[in-house]
Amino acid sequence: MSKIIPEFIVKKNEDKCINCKVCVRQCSEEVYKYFEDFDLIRIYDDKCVGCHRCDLMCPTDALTITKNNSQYKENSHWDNYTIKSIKKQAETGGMILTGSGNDKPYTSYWDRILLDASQVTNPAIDPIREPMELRTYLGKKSDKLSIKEENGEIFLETELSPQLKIETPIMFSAMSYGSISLNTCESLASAASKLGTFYNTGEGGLHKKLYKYGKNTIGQVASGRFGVHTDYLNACAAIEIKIGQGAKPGIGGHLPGEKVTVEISQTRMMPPGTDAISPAPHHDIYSIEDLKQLIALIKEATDYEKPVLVKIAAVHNSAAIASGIARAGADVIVIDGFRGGTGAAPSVIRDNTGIPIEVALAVIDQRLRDESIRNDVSIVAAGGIRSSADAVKAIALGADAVYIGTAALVAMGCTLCQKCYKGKCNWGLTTQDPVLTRRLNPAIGSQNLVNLVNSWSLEIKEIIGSMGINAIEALRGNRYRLRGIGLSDVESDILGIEHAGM
Amino acid sequence: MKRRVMCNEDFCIGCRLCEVHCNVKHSKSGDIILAYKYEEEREPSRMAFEEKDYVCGSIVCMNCKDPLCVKACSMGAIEIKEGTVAIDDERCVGCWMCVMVCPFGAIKRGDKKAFKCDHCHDMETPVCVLNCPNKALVYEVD
Amino acid sequence: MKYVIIGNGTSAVGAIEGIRSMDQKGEIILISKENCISYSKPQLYQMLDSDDLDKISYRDEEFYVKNNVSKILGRSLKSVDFNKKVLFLEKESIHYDKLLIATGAKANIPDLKGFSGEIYSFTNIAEANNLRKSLDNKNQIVILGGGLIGAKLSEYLVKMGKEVTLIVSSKGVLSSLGDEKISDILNKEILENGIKLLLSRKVVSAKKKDSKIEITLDDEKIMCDAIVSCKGVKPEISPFEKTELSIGRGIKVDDHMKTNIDDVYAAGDVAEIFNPLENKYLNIPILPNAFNGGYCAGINMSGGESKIDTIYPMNSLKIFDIQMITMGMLNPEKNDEVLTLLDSEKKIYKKLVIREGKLIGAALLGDVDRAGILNNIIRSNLDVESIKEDLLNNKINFYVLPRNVREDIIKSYTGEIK
Repeated sequence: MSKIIPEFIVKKNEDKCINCKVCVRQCSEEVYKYFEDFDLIRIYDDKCVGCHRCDLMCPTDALTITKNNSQYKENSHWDNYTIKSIKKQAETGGMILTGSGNDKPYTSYWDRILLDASQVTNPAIDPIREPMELRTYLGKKSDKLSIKEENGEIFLETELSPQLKIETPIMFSAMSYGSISLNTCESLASAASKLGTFYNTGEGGLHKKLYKYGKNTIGQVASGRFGVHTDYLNACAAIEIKIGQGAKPGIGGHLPGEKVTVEISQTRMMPPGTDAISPAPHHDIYSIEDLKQLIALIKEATDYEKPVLVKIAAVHNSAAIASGIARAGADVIVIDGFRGGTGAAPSVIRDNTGIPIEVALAVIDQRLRDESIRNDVSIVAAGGIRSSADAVKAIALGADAVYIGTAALVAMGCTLCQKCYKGKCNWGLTTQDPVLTRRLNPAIGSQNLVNLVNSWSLEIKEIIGSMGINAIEALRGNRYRLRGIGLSDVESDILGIEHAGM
Repeated sequence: MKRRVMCNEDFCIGCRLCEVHCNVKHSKSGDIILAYKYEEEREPSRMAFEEKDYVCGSIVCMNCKDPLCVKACSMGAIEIKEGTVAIDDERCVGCWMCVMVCPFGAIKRGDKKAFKCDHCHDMETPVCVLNCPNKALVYEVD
Repeated sequence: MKYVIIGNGTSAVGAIEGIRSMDQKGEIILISKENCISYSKPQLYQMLDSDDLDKISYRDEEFYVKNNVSKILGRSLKSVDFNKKVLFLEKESIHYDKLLIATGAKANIPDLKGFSGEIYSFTNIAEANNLRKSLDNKNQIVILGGGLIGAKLSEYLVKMGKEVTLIVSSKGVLSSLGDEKISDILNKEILENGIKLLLSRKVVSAKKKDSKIEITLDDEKIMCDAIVSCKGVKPEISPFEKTELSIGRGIKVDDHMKTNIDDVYAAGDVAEIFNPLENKYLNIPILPNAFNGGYCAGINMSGGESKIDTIYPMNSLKIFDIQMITMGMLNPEKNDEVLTLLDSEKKIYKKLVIREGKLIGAALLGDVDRAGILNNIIRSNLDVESIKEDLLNNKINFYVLPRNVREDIIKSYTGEIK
């Protein structure tokens, strides 16, 4: 028997329904079907993915999507998700795919870390009255600066490494054109340019329409090398070599052929309609030395003017890898934690692989300090940053800045239904269907992103002000301003923070 | 003064909420549920929603610079009032000459009289524009 | 500047608006034979119920006041001296700087052999009043002519409870449209609604017999109480017949509505406009043409520059339950492509005539919504080769047009797109 108990029940309140059929027209999963002969909207609960497009669009709030109470017998070991997965696999013989980030109830260390605030002896600062500095420079910092004086004028003798200037320590993480729609890319790009920060092309290349945002673009070079060419490298402000992704460490990418439209194929430089497969490893990088060569290659190709970022998934030996990356000449290390999102990944990988970003960040920062190379690189933390508080905690744990991906999608409409891999995103984000992509108007998407980052920035100023700090720089790696709650000794040790009360 | 409701078809999502809110605005009660479920007579929407393949959009009276309907009306019942092309209900006899000439197909046939978008003249912005969830409808006032 | 307009119909109103859009100061004098406000000719039928002229007023008194127009009503023009620019009425003479002849058209009344009684017609307010007043004691009415006026008048009279016989010399009503199917549908509709329809018949003679009239057709005799002639109209050119004005069927004008005489313009039903496409003068007596012609003349008279669009016939009418809109040429030539769609059950008929990839004519019966989109396609000479099937088979839809065309339309009618 192939039927699986529906996850959701869709209820239509007939007292409120005006039969306008907006639900019928909006649901890409075809939960609703209108039968003209009977003047009836028929509902198919089993197709519902719980994205809430319909009830949010319904002008009379006549729809409610609820969890189906009819479930398999409760069993704390064999839970419903497990039973359904087994049934699905028994039928299809395939891997179970999922989208978005790991949603399993692992410990969230963000929620076990509390912030310090100033009282009496070190006065707090009121961000409304006093200037607060969130501007951050990403890149290798010089150990010392030598200055020369000539004819009364002062010159900097030291040659500085290329830096990325961001007005707030928040950037938009890599999401490729292909996994997300062009309108979504444009929303991110235009928001980044308005905010004075960066967005990232993912492995999707740079669509012609987006070249104008190049100054705020980080171009990714990943294992498939899609869309990488000289113009691309030079159009972007920085280049990110992607080794791994938090949601699927050790797994490559796979954009099915049906999503490879003509425009995507042109942007990615591949035949339309063919699968875009990014291998699990870079086949020219089997060692730190190989990585060093690619970094050098990119630097050479871009005249040593652009910082090179290297992104890895947070895994057990991240600290050692990070040390290698720093020594290989990267300007920025990006660490992507296990809560990071994805357009598509096998559920078994997403839910079971990788480690929390909080832990990885703490150990990497510590390792680089121990080796006295922390100033050679900047660190960007990614993967499940949900709020300004998470961002502040990440910075205090040692990050220079954070990447947000899922939060950015949510700002643009995403409701975390986790069905990105189906390509039918009702919010027009993770789809290439021309009927659906128009649902995101970049003017609105971009404004929402600007608003989100602006409000987080205000909150960050408020938080650091409460700590008596007036520049975000002064918080970086300042773990003394963090305390753990409900952490074991080992956890506290690894995070490098004391327990509340200490 | 010139008023125009433009539909940016790149972002029209085909929800047709513009029509719904247009109906409500021109109903007796002005309440969506009353208008649809309890009022006996409800005039059809003043919008013309159209779709073809991937493209869709709403068409309302575009307030032409030199409106053909004004010239074609056999009763002289159409005039430009405060930047809006307006049909005088009292005088319209339903000859549909306006329907015959409107290049946008924006004038609709009622039971006996022609009707069209009135640009919600008692509001600053028409309800279709206010309620367009994707801001595909844009109201321009020059 | 002194503008004189002869006539007070649609084109006169158009001309007043045209002149005032350019010149707010010049003096406008309007001379009309009819002693009443401007009224809507297509709505003349309403005058069969009552003599309330306000019901069909086209522009009210305020219009003339607002536009500062002096009216000389109830007086007719006797002669003109185009050299001296003087108009002679019964008693006075009037000088003009710019003249618009908008005298309209008058009914064609056939000469019925042996008949000395009154033949009614129905083209202006006086004729309509006359007919209304005479109808009370007349029950059997014969209408001659199955054109627009004849068909519509028979509908009104039959609805008033009269016994109506419609005599048509051709094979069907509205045969001038050139589409047999439309005529067939309308013939059927007219018959179903209780009108006696006699097709392909000619009236040979008529005579009074007691209080009745006996009409002799080619093959039968019928009795009636009144005859109404609806055999079309002819341009009202009588005051100009012996002048140097170039006259064909009507007064000949160029695409600026100018006649062959300087400072003299003509518009409306009296004018025939040169059509460069067909290389001949066309007189198409319909309301939008009258207004547009008048408006165009008004602009040119007051120093502006306006060229009339190529005119073609178009009409919207309803015969009983059949609403129809026809536009352009429906009578195809040899190489034209004709697309038709017929749904007899829903009483829907659609016809498109395409010449060299361009739509030149369209007829819509039953569902006429958004006809203007087709009309604009004809007017703008758009290529329809790739969309003709859509135009025929689906509901008429603005989005059937290619995007660049749609944008061009929006720009040309409403201004730049931001």
